Amino acid sequence: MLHPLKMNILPLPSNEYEASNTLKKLGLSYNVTHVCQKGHMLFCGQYENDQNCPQCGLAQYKIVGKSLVPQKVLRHFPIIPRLKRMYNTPGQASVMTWHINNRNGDGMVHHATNFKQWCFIDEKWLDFTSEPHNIRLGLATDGINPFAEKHST
Amino acid sequence: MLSLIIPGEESMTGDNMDTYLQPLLEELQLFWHEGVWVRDAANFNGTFHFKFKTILMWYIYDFPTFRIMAGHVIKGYCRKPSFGLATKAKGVARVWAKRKPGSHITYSRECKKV
Repeated sequence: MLHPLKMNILPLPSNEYEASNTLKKLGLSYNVTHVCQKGHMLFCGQYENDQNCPQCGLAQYKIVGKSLVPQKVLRHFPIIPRLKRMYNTPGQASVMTWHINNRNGDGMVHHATNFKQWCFIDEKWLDFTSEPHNIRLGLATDGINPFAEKHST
Repeated sequence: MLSLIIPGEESMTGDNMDTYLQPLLEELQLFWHEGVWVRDAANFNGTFHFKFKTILMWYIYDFPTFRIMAGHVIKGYCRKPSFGLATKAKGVARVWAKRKPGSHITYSRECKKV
């Protein structure tokens, strides 16, 4: 986004509001969803206007001074605009189809494209495979504290 | 690519993990079932549109998180992986965690309270 050579020509945003507006236009913003205090449900969809959690009855907001503040908030970075943005740059878009053009067929594992799982998906869902732009995702989690202690992973 | 920030140390004990993953799963289902129209900038001077689909192939966890996702008990009574699926209710694990160090109540009696 910020090319080192352009840093001298393009000035950095002067305040936070300007910076967040720029990020929104690029599709890098995030959604805020209110959550039940004990994590039973999200206050979205049909539950958006509920004041209390239907399961445990705890309130969505707490009163601080004269304003309502949500008890707990989940920040979600949507992946759809991020993946769309990858195809909007010519250099990046050609890299996104790398896995179709650069396959080795010698039976050795050079890359994840040679794995059994990858080939299985290729054979099973042919309409998915026929579009070379389609990609495969992996879900990784990190930084979760199973014991509620600060220094365990 | 970062997709979710799941709050806190106390909240993230593995309970109700599915609640926090809801928005991500909705997006992934939209990607797999319907697809999204996307413009490809590399072909035909950027006028090429296609229906973009993704598939979720792998999960990568560290070991405790893996057991949370699989629905195992990871603390307290029956916390060892060798117990497998023969674990008891999660309430037992909570009682173990709340037990005061000096108390001599047997665990079976505590389990009845839960």
